[in-house]
Amino acid sequence: MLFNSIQFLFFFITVTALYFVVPDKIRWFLLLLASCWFYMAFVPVYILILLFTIIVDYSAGILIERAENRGKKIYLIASILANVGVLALFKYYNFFSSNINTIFNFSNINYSLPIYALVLPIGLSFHTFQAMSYTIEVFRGNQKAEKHFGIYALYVMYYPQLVAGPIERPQHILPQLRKRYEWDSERFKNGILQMLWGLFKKVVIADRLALFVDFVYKDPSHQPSLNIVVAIVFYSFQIYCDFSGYSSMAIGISRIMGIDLTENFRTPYFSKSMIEFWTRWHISLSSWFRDYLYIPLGGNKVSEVRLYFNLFIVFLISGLWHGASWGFVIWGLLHGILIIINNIKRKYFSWAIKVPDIINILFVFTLVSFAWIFFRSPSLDIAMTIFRQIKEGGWHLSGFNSNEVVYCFILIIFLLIKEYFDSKTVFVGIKHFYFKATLGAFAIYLLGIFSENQFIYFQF
Amino acid sequence: MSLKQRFFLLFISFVSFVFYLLACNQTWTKFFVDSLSNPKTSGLFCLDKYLYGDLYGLSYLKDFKEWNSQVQDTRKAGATTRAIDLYCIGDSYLASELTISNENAFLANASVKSFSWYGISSPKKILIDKSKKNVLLVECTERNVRINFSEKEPFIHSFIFDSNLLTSIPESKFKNDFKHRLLQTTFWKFIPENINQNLEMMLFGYKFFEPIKELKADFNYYFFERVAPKVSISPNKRNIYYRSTIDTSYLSSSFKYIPYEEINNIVFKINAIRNFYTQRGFDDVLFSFIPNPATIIEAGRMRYNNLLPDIRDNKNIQAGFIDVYEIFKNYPHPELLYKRTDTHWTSLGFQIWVDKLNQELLSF
Repeated sequence: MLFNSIQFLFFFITVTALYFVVPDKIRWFLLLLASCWFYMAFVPVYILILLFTIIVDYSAGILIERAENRGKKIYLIASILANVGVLALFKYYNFFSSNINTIFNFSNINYSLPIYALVLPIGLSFHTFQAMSYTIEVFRGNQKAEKHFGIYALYVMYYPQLVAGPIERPQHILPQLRKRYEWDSERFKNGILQMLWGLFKKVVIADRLALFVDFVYKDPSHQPSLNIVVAIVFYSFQIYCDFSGYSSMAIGISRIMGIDLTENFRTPYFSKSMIEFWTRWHISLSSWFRDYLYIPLGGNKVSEVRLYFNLFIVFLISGLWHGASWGFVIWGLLHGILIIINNIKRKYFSWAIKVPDIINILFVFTLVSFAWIFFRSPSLDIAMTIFRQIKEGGWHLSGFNSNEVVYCFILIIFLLIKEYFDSKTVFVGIKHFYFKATLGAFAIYLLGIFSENQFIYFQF
Repeated sequence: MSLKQRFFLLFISFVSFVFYLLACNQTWTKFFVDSLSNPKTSGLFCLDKYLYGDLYGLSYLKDFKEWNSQVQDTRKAGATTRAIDLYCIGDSYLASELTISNENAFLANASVKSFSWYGISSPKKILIDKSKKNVLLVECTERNVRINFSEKEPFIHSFIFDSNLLTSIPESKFKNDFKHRLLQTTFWKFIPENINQNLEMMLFGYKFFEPIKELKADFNYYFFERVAPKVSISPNKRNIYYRSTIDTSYLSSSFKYIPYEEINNIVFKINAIRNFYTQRGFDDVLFSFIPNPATIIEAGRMRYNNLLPDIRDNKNIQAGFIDVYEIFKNYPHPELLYKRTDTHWTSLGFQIWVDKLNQELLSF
């Protein structure tokens, strides 16, 4: 069920109210049951896949802790292979098969790999990475194996972050799932306002911008250049509001129940460099890649060439993580190249004239926005058409209500101002909660687009 | 937390859960909503979705808000009543509780002994008297023709008409359907797809919320010319339609191209249905496809796909038709044939159709 649906509202009220009624000792069970219900609302039978990976990783954690050196590695590898195997089958098999079949065709080889009509289990990439994080931390000795199967299952399936993160670390979440927590009205108010802000970003901003973006991307070959440029800018904010909106809701829901999730975004479009961008965007994923891929590859404690190679690999895999298509691969590679260039600039051109921050911010935003073209385009052809139309189309807006375009820009400016001031403000308590909550709910209803649009990152 | 607070939260949780459960089942939702609302009054909890027409209920635009009255057949009864029992597998156009206020007048003007209506999407077993003259009418609106008569076997075949429901009518068909549905639900769809619509209706479907729904609709319409996704406004801003009957990306659009092979398939299905039911006790099977309002009123907007005339004039068609397309198309003021804020016909449109039905029944 989607966070921006009425169904979820009733689910949330039922579960959260019951959470404070049931004794502490069985709260984990309530949350686990609720998480199962939440997951099965999408495709019930896929819970069996989740159950399989939970059993494998739960067992692997205990076996790794008990085993000696070589045994630890074997169990860790088995666990990672099981997780990556499930991910590879459901997410990447068809992509690789169709590309291999294309090569076979081209080489006149009379054979083709079968293509299966597999529906991607929702949130597969997220909970797989979260599960792998657990076994790796147990292997490294940073986390004791969780003996309680239910608590471990809840760690993987905890519903607010099950389908689109943030990707949590076991050291951060597991203790919180056992912690005794009493009702706190300040946390409740904070959580509600966080949820409302997340919902506002999703249905008022992201889904409004999506109307224009979808209109342009549906048939870019007939769009004037200004439409294309506006769509590129809008998509940058659409994906930000969509994803950060979901994260805000997940954080708000958890806060009410006394569980703190990792902050996943820190005003990324105020970044002054690409390196900084990746410390502010999808923080839980970038830190996962840093800790479990980049550092094991040697991190920055290697030769310069090897460093750039490591960065290249990390961003290639990051692109693939997002989706099984060449568009995502190119998006990842572009970011890898930009990070490498940023590193070179820092190392060899630190003497260069310092430009004002605003120029750097706009420059980084432009680079990121152009990379998003590959992320958004359903095919490489569409992406190339987008680039071509920037040059060849006319410089006028067409096919869309100009009032609505202006309104979208107003929403973007409002978002930037609010997030800028939020980042500078120290939290001192909630004032005027009822007024803010009522105004927020009213604004969401009046200005929101409610056409059951799925969150973009649900598809990963 | 005090005991009082716990009980309060338990109560909240219980109420929320009950709403959720009610919304999982269409019958329960309807029961809840009917218990609260009374369409004949203007009370606060009166359901507003159909009060002013189904198109208003989809859009909440003040410009398209007119009281939705039932159609009436107010003419005097005909001279003779033919001994025909007319059965209808149809949609809301002929559903008495939704559409026809004066059933007796309809029966009299249709000159039939009895008229029984069954929803096209709810297959049933129905008792008929084979010693009488039984005529089956299969009716649907134009926008559903390509869907109802598509490649797969149409579910119209699922109706069972028999003179003796106690004989060994194969129950397995219904049982297998139940088992199949259970498996589908358990493995592939746990929660019904319309749960959100049901919850919305139970919570916000009342007159009480009309002002705020209209405010939202008007804000989007007047500032951005944006309307609800399921409706479309005519270029002259005077009419409103189901978007699916205008937008050519929908199969049900009046302006979406239809290949001739598809027309042949539809005709084949029509003939198969006719044969199916004439072999099971009916003296004849008639068909009636009611034109989309867009087909008639927006005829000049785009090129009509000619669905209805192509079916009617197909050389292989064996069934009789209650065809009002030509009459509606040539009517001097076609907008009088359909309600302005509802997809259904007016009393005038209905009466024209009844006259056509009468003409066809004359041959029996």
